[in-house]
Amino acid sequence: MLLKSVKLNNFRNLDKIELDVSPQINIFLGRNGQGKTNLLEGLSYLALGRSHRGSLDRDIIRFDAEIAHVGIVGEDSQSDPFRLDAAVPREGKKKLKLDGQAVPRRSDLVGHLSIVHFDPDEVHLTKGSPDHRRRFLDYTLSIGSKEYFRQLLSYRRALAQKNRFLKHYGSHSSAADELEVWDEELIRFGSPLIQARMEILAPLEHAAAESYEALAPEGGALSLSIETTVSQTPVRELDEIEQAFRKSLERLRPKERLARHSLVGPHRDHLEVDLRARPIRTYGSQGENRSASIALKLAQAELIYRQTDERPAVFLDDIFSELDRTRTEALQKWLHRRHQLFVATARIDDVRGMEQWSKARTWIIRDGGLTEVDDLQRAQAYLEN
Amino acid sequence: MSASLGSPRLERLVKVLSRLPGIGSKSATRIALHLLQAHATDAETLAQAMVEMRTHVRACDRCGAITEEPECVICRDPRRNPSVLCIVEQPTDVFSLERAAIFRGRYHVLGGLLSPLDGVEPDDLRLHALRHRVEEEGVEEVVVALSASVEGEATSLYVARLLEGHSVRTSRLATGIPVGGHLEFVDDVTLERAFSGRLPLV
Repeated sequence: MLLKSVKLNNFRNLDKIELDVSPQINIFLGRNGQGKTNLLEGLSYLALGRSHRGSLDRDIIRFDAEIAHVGIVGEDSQSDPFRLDAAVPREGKKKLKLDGQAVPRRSDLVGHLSIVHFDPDEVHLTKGSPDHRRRFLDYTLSIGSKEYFRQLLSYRRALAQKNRFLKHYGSHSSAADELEVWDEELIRFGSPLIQARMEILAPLEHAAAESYEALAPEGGALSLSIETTVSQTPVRELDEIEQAFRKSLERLRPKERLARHSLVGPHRDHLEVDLRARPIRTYGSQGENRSASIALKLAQAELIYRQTDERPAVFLDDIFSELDRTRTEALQKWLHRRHQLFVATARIDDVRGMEQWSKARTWIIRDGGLTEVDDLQRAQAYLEN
Repeated sequence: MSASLGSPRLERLVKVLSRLPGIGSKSATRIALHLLQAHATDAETLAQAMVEMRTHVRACDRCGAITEEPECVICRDPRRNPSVLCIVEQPTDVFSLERAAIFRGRYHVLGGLLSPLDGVEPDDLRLHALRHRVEEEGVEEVVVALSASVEGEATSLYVARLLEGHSVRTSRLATGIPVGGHLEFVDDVTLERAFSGRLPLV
């Protein structure tokens, strides 16, 4: 997949932007707070029809505007073009379009714009909260499968209904029937999620272990597992998962009523990362966690490729301060050979040399506006005054 | 928000109109100005029609559909089969099904779908009335025709459980490929449902 051009209007602090991008490498230089991350957020908004940072739609609209527009033109590996558009109003529903035709659901966008993000948060993937690793799994599967994404959205909706129900009526014993109905919805949409996560685990582990070995030779074996709240014993088949899920829900129902929120389901499941058979987040060093996180992200790019036959574009947002020079260069070169790259940084040193690569394009970003520069010398001058 | 129109009364009308579904402030202004410039009776006719509609149109005591009598035309029609009941969310769903002229039983309008997020609970739906009808009207089959959303499915299941123990068959509408539709344009979830609900050819 290649991103060809983007149009942004009233998107966060950015000026009206119309940008043709390089099929190989795009560099955005700017001091902090000038709009680098916002630009990458805008470029990737149409992957799942929402900010990848989880921002609310109303927060992406420029403060003095009523509606934000995002438009992307790209092409797939068969060189077939696609076009995605979103109009996000402050009031009312956002409108999404695929190839100029209105589509009703965010999941209708899936399968076109494919992106993997490396940003400072992601560098702490293995050490951060379980929530973070769950989102990592969900993102990998959603970009690769419209069906997964649709089920995930339905699951979240059913879960929100159930949690609201528990909060307001959890202690009413007469309300038993309704709770069971919401639980059935959780089973219906949640079981396929658990199954898909279980299925992707082995190939993901294989790809991550391979990348880890490349990043940290002789560093030990990286392994992944999923701890599911639904079952103590491993479950694989859909009907097994459904049965186990139903049993756990029944067993925990009194506890859930007391707690007044949901305690079991794929939204509580954990992706565990082990190094040398011990949890890396507690036993691994800083360096090991960093390398393992990057290995997981590389595995994510690889798995998206295997699921969709499309190489995702890779966004590198200010991650090199976390890495030493040799690793930075190795990672840049490895990614450059396979993926269209978008790099944002405040430090020229992070990208020195890259601008010489063929078809590299470099922009300065300042106060939400973009200026293309043809060499880093001029960029240096911009950044310094 | 809207610019001054030189008359507080005109501005008030614009404000009221723009609260209507599908009408923004621009359309509201256009409608208001039209009513100002058109024949005086136009505005009076419109106002009268709205007041009369609110005075006389009501929900059917039996099924909840729209009517001007205590009971709607469908409930009063002796040719309709009283043993089959079709459950719908809104009175407008009755129109859709009647337009297609496929169903010869009677309806029951729930008036919404279960949704704790919107504060809609079983007591807010016409479920007691439903149970009462099933017990009193000799209903043999209940067809649940609610939307295929998360809330629609949950409500369908709730209805099915509510009627467990009553001697009625419950069914739901099939989901699948639209008539005249091409397979390549059908999404995976719909395709999967269509597949699992497949019918014998001969």
